[in-house]
Amino acid sequence: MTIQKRITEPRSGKKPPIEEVRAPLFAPPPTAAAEASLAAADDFAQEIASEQVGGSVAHQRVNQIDDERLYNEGDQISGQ
Amino acid sequence: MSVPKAVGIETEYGIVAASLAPGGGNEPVAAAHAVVEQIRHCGPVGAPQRTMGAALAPWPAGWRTATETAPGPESDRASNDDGWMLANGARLYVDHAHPEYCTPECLSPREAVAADKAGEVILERCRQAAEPAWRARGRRLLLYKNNSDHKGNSYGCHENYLLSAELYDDLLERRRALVAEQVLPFLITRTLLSGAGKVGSENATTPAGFQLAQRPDFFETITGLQTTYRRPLFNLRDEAHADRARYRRLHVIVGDANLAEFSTWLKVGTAQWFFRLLEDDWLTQRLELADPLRAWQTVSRDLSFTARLPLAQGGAATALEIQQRFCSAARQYCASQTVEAEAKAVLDCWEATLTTLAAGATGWRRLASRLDWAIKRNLLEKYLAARQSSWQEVSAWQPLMETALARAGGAPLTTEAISQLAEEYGLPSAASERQRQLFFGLRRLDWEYHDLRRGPAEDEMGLFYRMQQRGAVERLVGDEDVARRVTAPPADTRARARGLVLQRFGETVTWADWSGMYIASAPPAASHGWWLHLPDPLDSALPKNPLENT
Repeated sequence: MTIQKRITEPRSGKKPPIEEVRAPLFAPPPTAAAEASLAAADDFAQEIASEQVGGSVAHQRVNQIDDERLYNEGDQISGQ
Repeated sequence: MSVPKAVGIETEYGIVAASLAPGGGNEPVAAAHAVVEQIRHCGPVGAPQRTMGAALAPWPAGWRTATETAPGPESDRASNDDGWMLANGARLYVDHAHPEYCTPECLSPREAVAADKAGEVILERCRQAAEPAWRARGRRLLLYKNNSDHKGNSYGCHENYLLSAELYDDLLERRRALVAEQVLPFLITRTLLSGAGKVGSENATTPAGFQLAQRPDFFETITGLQTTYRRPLFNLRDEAHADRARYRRLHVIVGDANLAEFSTWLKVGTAQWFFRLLEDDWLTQRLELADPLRAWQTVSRDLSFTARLPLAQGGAATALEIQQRFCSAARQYCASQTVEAEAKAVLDCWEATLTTLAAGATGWRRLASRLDWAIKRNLLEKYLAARQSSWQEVSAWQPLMETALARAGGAPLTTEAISQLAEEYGLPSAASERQRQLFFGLRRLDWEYHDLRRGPAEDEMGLFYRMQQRGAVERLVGDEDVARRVTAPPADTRARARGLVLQRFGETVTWADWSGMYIASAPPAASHGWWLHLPDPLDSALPKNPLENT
């Protein structure tokens, strides 16, 4: 098949390879989903707040370094 | 009737390739290239792309053989910024020391959210693929979707909106007052919806405990072409990537990189509304800010949403009031015109969000699962409360901490060094260790929020994604929608035609731009190649090949 024959729209009857995003739209609060998310957000924030600074924080699990060293490495984020 | 406001989002990702051992230096440029190169193995099929930014010489949409005259890049400024146009219609490349992902052109805000999220997935896949080699060399490799390193350096998240050539020329030439009277007031106060939240302040600006947005500290002039120094509120980059007689691309550089889908959806959806109102001459009330640069910093630092911004024509208005005026204009437009269902939904949520923010000092907490800055603020304020501290206290200690860090010169900051400065700054030295912990702890959490890792283990996951996994963040698009945009372009813009060609021809496409591409039939036999020109961003059809039936 030559290129000029292949560069065409899909043949009729073929399913186009591209589909639209069809997710539902946001609705103004209050919605049940919004209330549940807010409750979960507060629970998560309390969990993070109860972590010991410099102790067994999620960050140390994740990054294996302490907060200050992360700060000192921070300029690397911007490629400076 | 206004031109449909197609939109694309460009995100520069922060990257860390830090040594696991202290003092190991950094290789951000090499790391950025290593991440982007992985697209060959773990992204949608793409095409090596050269001379990005050079517009195709004008000729009608469609195909031309390489032996015909006219086609080809208008400029010969080969930039060597090799990158990839991807089969999902997006672009991925290294911009200075950052991996940058540009979504395809999208018509609806919902599509823009899915395309933006697809970028996060692709970048994280590339990071995962690149990391083992860097781990073997004793380095961590991390990506951050944010806009600040907390040390005075910023990188962007830019939006591009399709405007009619007429409106664009109005803004730049015939009716330049519209920029000051309408565009800047809208974009500056949009921070209430689109900010990603940030601890502290940078670039020698007024100290702050928490800001709604990451970028206001870094803008220093009103208009200009540049994006990386003396950043302008209104960017004048006039690269249409389309038929200039009909369309222009407005390059908006004052937004934050968002992780919350609601933030992205409102950021894009309200901007589409605003430019529609502007193009249809629906905005008549002058809202020129007396000092737009100062106003933006004020809006970002105003955690009660009550600061009054002086107006050029006299009087003052809060950011909320200015947003409410634009929102009211959209409501009036909606009452007299036919608009799409999604535009109506954006308007409803825009209105509801402003009403929620106006509902007293704690109303914003109702948005702590929707807007990035509110999600982060809720998280950090509970962290502060557990330590009997406040944003006022954090702000008061910021100048001292900056002086102490400067004197430490990169060495560990001791409590003694802070304590020695406390008296000079009129602060209690007994609080020095607590302030040291707060300073670094708050910034750590701020960074972690934007960490792009998505697990599956929770200890290999950024804070935002941990919250999303726990159901603490409302979503608009599902993983299935995002996965679709990883591999396929939106169906209703020219990204579709671009994607179709790239899906079928992959690396035989040897040059690609937003408005065209070159397909070499048997590289390097360029004389048998084909040029395809796609000058209309709103035309999703793949032009018919004139030789198809010969």
